[in-house]
Amino acid sequence: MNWRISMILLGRIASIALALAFAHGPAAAQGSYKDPGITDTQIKLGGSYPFSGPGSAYGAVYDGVKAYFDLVNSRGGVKGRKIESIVLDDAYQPSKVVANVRQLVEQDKVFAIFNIGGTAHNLAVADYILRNKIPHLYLNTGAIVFAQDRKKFPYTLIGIPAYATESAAFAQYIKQEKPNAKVAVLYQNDPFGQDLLEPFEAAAKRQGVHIVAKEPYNATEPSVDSQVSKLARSGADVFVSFTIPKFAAQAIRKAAELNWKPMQLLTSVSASTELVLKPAGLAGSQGIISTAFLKDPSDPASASDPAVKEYVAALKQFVPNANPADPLRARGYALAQVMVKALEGMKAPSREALMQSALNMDTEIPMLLPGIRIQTSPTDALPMKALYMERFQGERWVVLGKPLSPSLK
Amino acid sequence: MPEGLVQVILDGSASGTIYAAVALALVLVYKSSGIVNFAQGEMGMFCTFITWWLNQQGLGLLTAIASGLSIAFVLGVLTERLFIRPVARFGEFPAVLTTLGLFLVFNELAPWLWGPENRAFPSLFGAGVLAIGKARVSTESVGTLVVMIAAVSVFFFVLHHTKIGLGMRAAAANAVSSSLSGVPAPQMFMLGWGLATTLATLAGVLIAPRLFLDASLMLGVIIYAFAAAALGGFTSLLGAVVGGLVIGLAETLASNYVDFIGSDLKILVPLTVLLVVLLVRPTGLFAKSAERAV
Amino acid sequence: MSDKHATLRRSITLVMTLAALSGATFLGTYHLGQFTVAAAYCIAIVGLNIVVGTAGQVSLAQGAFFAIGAYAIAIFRIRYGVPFPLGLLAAGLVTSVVGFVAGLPALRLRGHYLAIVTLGLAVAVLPIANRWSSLTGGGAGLNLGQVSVPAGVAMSPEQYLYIWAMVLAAAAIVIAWRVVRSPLGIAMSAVRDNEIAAMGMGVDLRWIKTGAFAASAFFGGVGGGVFALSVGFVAPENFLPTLSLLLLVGIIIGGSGFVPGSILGALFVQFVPDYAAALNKHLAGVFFGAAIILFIRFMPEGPLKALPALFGTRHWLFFKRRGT
Repeated sequence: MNWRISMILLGRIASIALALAFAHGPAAAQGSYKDPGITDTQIKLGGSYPFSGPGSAYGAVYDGVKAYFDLVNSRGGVKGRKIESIVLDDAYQPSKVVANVRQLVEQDKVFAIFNIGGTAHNLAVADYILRNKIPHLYLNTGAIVFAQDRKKFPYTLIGIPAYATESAAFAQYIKQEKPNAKVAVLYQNDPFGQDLLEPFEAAAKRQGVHIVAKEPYNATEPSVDSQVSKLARSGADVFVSFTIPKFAAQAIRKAAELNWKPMQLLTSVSASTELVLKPAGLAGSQGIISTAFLKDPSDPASASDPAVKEYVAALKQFVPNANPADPLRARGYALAQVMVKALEGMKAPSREALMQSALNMDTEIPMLLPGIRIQTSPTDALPMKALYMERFQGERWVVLGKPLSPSLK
Repeated sequence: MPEGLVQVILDGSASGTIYAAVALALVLVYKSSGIVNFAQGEMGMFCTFITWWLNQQGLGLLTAIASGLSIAFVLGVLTERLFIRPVARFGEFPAVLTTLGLFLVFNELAPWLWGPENRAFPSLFGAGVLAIGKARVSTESVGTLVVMIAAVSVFFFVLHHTKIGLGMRAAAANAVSSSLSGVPAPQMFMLGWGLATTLATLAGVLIAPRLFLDASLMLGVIIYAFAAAALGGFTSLLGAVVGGLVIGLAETLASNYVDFIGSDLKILVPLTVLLVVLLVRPTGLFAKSAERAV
Repeated sequence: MSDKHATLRRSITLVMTLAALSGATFLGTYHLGQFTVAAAYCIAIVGLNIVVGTAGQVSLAQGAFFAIGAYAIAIFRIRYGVPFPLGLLAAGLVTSVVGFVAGLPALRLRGHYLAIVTLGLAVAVLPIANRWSSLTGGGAGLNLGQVSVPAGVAMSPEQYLYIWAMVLAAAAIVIAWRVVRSPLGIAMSAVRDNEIAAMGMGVDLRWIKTGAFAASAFFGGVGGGVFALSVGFVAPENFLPTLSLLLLVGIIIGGSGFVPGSILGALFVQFVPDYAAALNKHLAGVFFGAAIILFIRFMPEGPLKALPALFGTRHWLFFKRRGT
């Protein structure tokens, strides 16, 4: 019996020794660099993605990120500094994101944190980021709270248009096209869906758009068929779908099966020809409205666009098996372009200079649609304010008119 | 609103056939080897991916499905032989937790091999829709139900009216005495796992056209399937089908007509139904009292 | 047997606890956080070991108890400003009430029927936490902030919480060890081995079963509380149903029914996934799953029973006394 305990003791001592071996002291001073993770030849960026677990489809974002960073490195890096990107798996769990960010900052000594996805996941690390003054850039979430509450999130910038921007654009579009619309909403019962639903409800109220039904679904459930069926019976003639690709496709197909033919608006995350509309059936997908800020790599018309060409080639070279048609990969690529711009704009090799650069930008990004600029200032932390409405026709998305920047108030 | 009610019942039954399909495989493995297999759904998902991949390589759908089902059988047999048998003699716990390890392995191997995206899976029954008054149901849902009932009939016949079926049941009931009476229990366990994995893959092939194929194909279904299997008594094939339908109907009716529950809490309905039924009949609706589990 | 070696056992416990506590002096905050979470798992696994290992009742609800404890301390802290040591106690008590209720079906159900009903509780956490957002913060979660260190204690919040976590884990092990060896624990083992015989010996099944669930939930709740304090944030996605299964893996790894084995189980659950992800981030689950399979394959009754087999001896030091 004592032996058993001493075995455990031995195990405990061994594990502590192991931890000790991995724990480094304070970083050795590197010339004139006051912050860790940056030298004359290297910049270390840290990220955390759901490579495993229920959100693993979002892990594809990193493929695009990796492709662009590798491309930049193959061209000599950012002002002679190669980007070293260290990414960890978080299985889509906020608690793991916290552990990962601690590891990235304390052990891997990254210069900045880049492109973590999920609203709760980024809120979970906000305290730590604030305490340690780490740039926390181009999050893969559109929760507007990060742009609005600068006291709590002074080192944070979101990387995609605010969900509130898309919601407001939807409400505005519905008001224009169908002033007396009866709207039904399907939304995912988590921060992703709630962040879209709440501003949409607010915008609908402002615009005088009438929501007659809303149905949540849990991302852990197999199907949204019964929700769509219930929405169809509400008599709505507009269907707003705040869903991730798999459920978006199910919803489109179920609506067609029920012979319910409302005007459909689909959140941009799921506006993918390959992942959603083709699987759901092109016939039932005609006329679906969405918003766009990225160039669509699956659109044959954009195949000759130099930025899309470069993206497809880079993905093929650096992440060989990844399908370039996935818009999440294109998004990762675009956000990596924004990050490189921010790094290029640093006036000194410090975290403070990176934040200054990121908060004083006015630039175009090759993978973003023309007219969508990255614009920030010390008092404006919302990098992308505009987006296009688009409609699905035939086998491709057609951009409608000019970029919109709807009022969020 | 009677028309609405018809649609709700059709939707609920359609969900129910999905749960029943996976529950059947759970029951089969339990009936033939006495182990609850957490990895059952994931093994079915994995072989459904193989089927999809074969189809993409140019194999006809039926050929691809036949090959997928055969591969599933081999996978099931090997899994029992290599992973389950060595630990089964230490009791149910190590074996069940080994299936949990297998769950993690298959769940992650599929997206690593084929990517995490969801994709269309061709349907055996076309994309037709049947109209009943104003209510509608897809031919896929009807087809799934028909195939499931056919599968239950076949397995029921095999288990209860053939020598090999008798052997499987005998081996599961008592491995030692069945071996003494000339039934090779180890082979029977392997056969049971092979057939159950085949059935799980058949379930995958049937539901993938409706749910779309990705690595989480079975994740959402498996809890309902467990509830369906338990409701039916864990050892009854018919019970699994009835359990699945009851659960599908209960959750759809409740989410439509009980405001408090709504669509977000509907997963609690089958669990509550299960709890209530089990408190009255602790071994489910269809289990014989002699099979009371210990 | 226990009297003969009591002094030795006590000194080993003391040395181990001191060794663990000394970690606060040299571990960085990242590692402090990791070991604090490991201690949280350890406390929850100790509790699960009571209900599963000792009383023989299959419970897949421990992840739910962990979640309830985590939310309880978050709410006590944020809403009522309760100091965290008191909050942990309260979280444990609240959870043990839920655990008592969750134990009621065990009076009727056994084996996998009980497993699936308790799994239901683990499944219910996520949608309920999302629905009841006025209390739980919904999908956006709740931010607990850092623990405050009392004036005069020269420690960082991470160090201070680490010390608490180690002491609580040690206390949980000592308490559970004693309970398992008390008449109560012996009654629990009797229920596990043969319910009818246990009744014949005058054991009241109702109290033993619900009591075991309540006790296990208490530890689960305290563990969840420590987890929430260390992470500083609670959100529904932290508490997927697989958490219950992981904690169950923890008791098998450490040896079912052997309380100090929970330390090994907790270290496995906390660190092996990280090492697996370090091998290949896309295959973390494959490696972790393989680790579970191999561990159980070669040590199906925990490492302490496997060692004598490995060394080919049956020295008395290795001899495992059955349950009690």
